[in-house]
Amino acid sequence: MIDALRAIVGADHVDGVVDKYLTDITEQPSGRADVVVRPGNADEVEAVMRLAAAEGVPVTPIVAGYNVAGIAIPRNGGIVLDLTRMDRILDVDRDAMYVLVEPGVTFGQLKEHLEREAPELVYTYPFAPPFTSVMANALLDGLNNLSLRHGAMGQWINGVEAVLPDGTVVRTGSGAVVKSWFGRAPLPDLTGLFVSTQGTTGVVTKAALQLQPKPPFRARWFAFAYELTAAYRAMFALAQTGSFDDVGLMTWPAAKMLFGATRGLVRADDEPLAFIFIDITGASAAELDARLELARDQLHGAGVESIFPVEALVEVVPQYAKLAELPTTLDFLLDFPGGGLTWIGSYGPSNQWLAGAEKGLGLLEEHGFPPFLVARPMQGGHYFVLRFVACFDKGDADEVARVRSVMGQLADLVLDHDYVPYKASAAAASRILARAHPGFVDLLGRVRGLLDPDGRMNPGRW
Amino acid sequence: MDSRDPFPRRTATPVSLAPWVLEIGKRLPGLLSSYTRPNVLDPRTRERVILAVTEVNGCRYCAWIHGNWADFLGDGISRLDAEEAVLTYARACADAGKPLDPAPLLERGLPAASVQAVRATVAQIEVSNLVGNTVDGLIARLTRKRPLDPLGALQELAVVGAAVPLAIPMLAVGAALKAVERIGPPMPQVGMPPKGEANLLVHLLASAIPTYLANAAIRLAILGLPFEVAVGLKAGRTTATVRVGRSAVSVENGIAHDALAVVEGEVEPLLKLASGSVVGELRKLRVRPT
Repeated sequence: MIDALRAIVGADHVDGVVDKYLTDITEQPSGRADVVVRPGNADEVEAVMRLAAAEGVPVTPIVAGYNVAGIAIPRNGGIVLDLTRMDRILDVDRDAMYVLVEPGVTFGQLKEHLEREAPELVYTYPFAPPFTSVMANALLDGLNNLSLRHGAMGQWINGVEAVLPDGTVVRTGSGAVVKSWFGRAPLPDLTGLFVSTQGTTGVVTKAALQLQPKPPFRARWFAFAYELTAAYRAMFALAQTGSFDDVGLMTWPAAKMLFGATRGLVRADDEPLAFIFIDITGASAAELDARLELARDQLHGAGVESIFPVEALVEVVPQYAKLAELPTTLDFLLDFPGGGLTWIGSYGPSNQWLAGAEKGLGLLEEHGFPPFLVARPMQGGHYFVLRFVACFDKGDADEVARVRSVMGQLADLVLDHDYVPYKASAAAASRILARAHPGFVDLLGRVRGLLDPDGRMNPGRW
Repeated sequence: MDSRDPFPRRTATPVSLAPWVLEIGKRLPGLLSSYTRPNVLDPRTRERVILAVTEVNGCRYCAWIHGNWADFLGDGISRLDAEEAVLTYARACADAGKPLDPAPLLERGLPAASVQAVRATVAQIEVSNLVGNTVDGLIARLTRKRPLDPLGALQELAVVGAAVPLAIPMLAVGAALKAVERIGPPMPQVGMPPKGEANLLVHLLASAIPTYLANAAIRLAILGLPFEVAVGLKAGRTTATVRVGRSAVSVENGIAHDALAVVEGEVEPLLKLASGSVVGELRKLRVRPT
């Protein structure tokens, strides 16, 4: 089979050294794989998938592997399908405002391309390194800095071209019918088969992703909240206005880690609990000014104090620029001694956010981790994010056991509060399915059984 | 420059001076801002612009004076995101021997007032460079390293004579700055609690203090104190105390009982104060006894 793979993608792109694919930055256990294959185009993906189907070999697709849930760690051996070579931006439609990308296109690459080729348009960028995959982030339903306006990233996908587990090439969305990938409506929405399914239904080789107009006027603020209630009220109120691009918060451990602190984090009595970030844009200076005034009113009304432009902070502490422009390096998290980073991120209703946040922060502290929370309202405030973060030493077995324990308990906690984990790890996915409506579990099983009857695609997920 | 003249640098002639003198005339408010409004043009950026132009023109007098000035100011935070573009523009003007269109600066989003200050800075140092080079050109004539050319020498003598009243004080300033920089104490390590325990204001101050202490005069005045002085700061609800004196500086959580006074205000003016925008922000802060 190795010879056959070499014949498809070239000998240079088949590798028996698989070690770096067997772990990631999280606490997830090491995996197992036999060979890494790096296809250069969709035809090669199709041929590899046909070969794998004929041989009954598992296939685990991966790009950067920074999903922070172990989703791309191969579980049952077989082929790791490394898609990083497929890094072409195939089209930017400036009228219909979408970009057609291959899976290896990174956020840094797309941002640079748009600034050069279509400066009036913008994509949405995550709190993630610039070398991570645009497509993987979208297919895994991540959240970016325009998610307050436009929702989780799965909703930004206008359609895909994918190779099914048996090697069949399919298309979804308008691009399946006409030349333009303008949207998913008004067709049966088959794109969803590939969203949040974590590579279990096929390998997406092209995705059309929405772009948005880039307003010429922009400001970014930080504000300090000293109580969680005030922080929640502020996020809720700002989201309800429908006037802001991005609103979110991080709790105090993130702020200290940006200053280089790692362990022994203590919150002083007079320190803010969280800093809220607000991205404000306008089509004109007057529109921006009106929104700035509105933001100030909403923040003060919610009891949030100390509002200031990010630039003022960045002048004094340049490392805070990491939060001002996305994508961004996460070195302040990844440089933690021992290199472990993990989180439970979830989407859920706003009315359960406060209780979930309070209890989750308490759980982290009970397990010896700083109360590190990232949150934001999504899609105009229709739902919120609760993401609990822990840095840990991967070489410390006791700490790894503690982080596994607390992440499991946090998955239960968010589900108890009607929040559903996104980019769910295997453990979190099991918890979701255990609570899901039997009909949902049955339908998911039928879909997977139809597309991947042997369970070869990214085994161990869902 | 006469192609037969072996002197390699541009000197002050009516033709070489005219565009720059005209530029200074048009940008007088900008010239004033460049020395009085750090928010418009950071002094460190101004000196970098001056040294960039001087490097192109090769004036050793200006290089000495402004090299000392830059050393005196030290390496602090530059508030100008577009500094590299500014330096490129300044070098291009010097290469061209005339003021150039500042469109690249405006495209980088540099405010109009800052553009005016940059243009004025380039023009004033161009004139200074040309005059400085003229001194060397005259010396070269007198030492027979270039043709004597009595008419040329007389013109250069006139330029040098006119510049002497300004040049001598500038050389004195350069010498004074160098002296202060030499006797100023070295930059100390800022003392603070362990990073995990230090509150955000302490972290912020520990980041900002080196910017202030980069200035040799401030270092000399503050660190040279023979006794310790504690001052409290309150930004929003968060408090810290800065201790200076006896060649040391440290920051700690909370308002210390021995703090002489407390400076309090919103976070933004304190941030701007911390970044060196002193004058405009002091009005927004309150100082009260402990």
